[in-house]
Amino acid sequence: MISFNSVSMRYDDGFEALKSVSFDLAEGEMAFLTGHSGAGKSTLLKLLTISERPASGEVLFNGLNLARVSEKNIYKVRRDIGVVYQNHRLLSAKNVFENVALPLRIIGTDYREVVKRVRAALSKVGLSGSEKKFPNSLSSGEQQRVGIARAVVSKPSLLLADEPTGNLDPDLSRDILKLFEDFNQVGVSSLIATHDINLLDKNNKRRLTLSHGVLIDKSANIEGQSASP
Amino acid sequence: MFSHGRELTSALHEIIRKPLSSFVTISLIGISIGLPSIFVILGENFLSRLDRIDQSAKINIFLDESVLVAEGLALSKEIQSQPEVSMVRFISSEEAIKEFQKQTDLSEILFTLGQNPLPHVIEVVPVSFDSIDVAILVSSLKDRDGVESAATNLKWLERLYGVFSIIKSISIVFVVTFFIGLILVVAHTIGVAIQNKADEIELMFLLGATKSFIRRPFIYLGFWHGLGGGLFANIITQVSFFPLAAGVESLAQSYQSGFSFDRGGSEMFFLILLIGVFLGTTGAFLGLSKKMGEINPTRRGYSYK
Repeated sequence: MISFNSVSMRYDDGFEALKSVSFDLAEGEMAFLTGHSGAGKSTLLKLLTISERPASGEVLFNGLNLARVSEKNIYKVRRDIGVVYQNHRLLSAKNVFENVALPLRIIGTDYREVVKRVRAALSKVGLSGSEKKFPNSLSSGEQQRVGIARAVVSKPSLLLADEPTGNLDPDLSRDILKLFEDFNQVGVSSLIATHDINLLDKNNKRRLTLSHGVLIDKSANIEGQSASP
Repeated sequence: MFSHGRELTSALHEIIRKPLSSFVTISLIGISIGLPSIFVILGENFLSRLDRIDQSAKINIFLDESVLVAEGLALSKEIQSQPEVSMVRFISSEEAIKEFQKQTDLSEILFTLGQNPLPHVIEVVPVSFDSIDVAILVSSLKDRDGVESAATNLKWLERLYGVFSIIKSISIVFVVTFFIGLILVVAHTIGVAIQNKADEIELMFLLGATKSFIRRPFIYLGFWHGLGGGLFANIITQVSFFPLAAGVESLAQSYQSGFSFDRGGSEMFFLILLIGVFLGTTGAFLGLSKKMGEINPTRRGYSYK
């Protein structure tokens, strides 16, 4: 599903965010990307959404080299990736339904189908009946659930999350993690960037540990899913 | 199609949600289109009046005393057959003196003269009122046998055309300047709307929206602003003509003229709307091209090695 081959990334100011990073994420696999603040976790996710381009190496997603995708075709890649952000990135002027429906509107889904799929996604994250509420009237945990519903509503093949539990207490973090595990159970590949030690200690998924842009650990998980060579 | 309809309605709601700023933009567009429209309609009325004045403008050909009425009539026919001539009227010396007697109180003086001093005259209305065309025609008419002299009363008309041509040139500069300003106003308005929605636009890019999908609501916003501005321009144009048209028509009546003021009609109404829509959407495109690149989360100008 994902393959990073000797990927380096340098920002315009000269800061080297990633240094020759290589790893694979198999189809249907769930892995954690961990490391200290500034280790390069967000940069790595940005390479997958083509918000940044690598300085060298190749980033393969479903066999496609993302470094070579032209600007006019970026949208095709992004439509197949669901992203959950730490700050939720919900639109405050739009209600829960409209927020979750946004990816479906973008791909031009029929309105009746939009209604069906938004309700299903909200039901999955435990927010049935909250369609007409506005983000500001929801708790932080509920807002994150809406963000997750929006990320999965268009049935992407890859789910990315950037510090999804960063603003949540341990109980809520566990609930959110459970949701990612549920989606993974139905075959959605997931890469979750986090430095939440409690979260990492409570599951048996593979960890990719970054330190100052270098991938220092690609440990295999207990379930035996293979790590990259 | 359904999605376009929703976007169009949503852009209209956006305008309604911000009534004050929308009103300012729409009224600016309205005034910018309305003022030139008033000048254009006034100009059209002036031109239509000028056409009537044209018809009263003519070349007078005074014939030799020796020319007989039958010869004068034959010459009139010959002149009428020329392609440069629109209309010809032969006035014999007898008819001329009768007209003179009717229009003046100098009939007693004419009796003292003993004989009719007026020559036969041929009035010629040219096809073209262009000064060079008229000069060529006058020269050719003067050279004909039996013609004593030829005179025109067209000099003032040439001057009038000259003044009008200058006014027309100034008006074009005026209109172009207004319209450029208007496009910039709409571009700025759309630019502000884009800036206010920067987070939403960036998110939509990240969710896989195409540029055209993101542009669409802003273009519709420009469309509504332009349409609203066109309507506003029509209102101020028609309202400003109420006192003006009444004044002009009553002046025309005092001169026994059947002149009625033309307010532009439905063609002008739709033309103004169309100009509004065109300028609104053009401004939106300009605003989008300026601001969109700043928001797109994909870093530009980065070369892959």
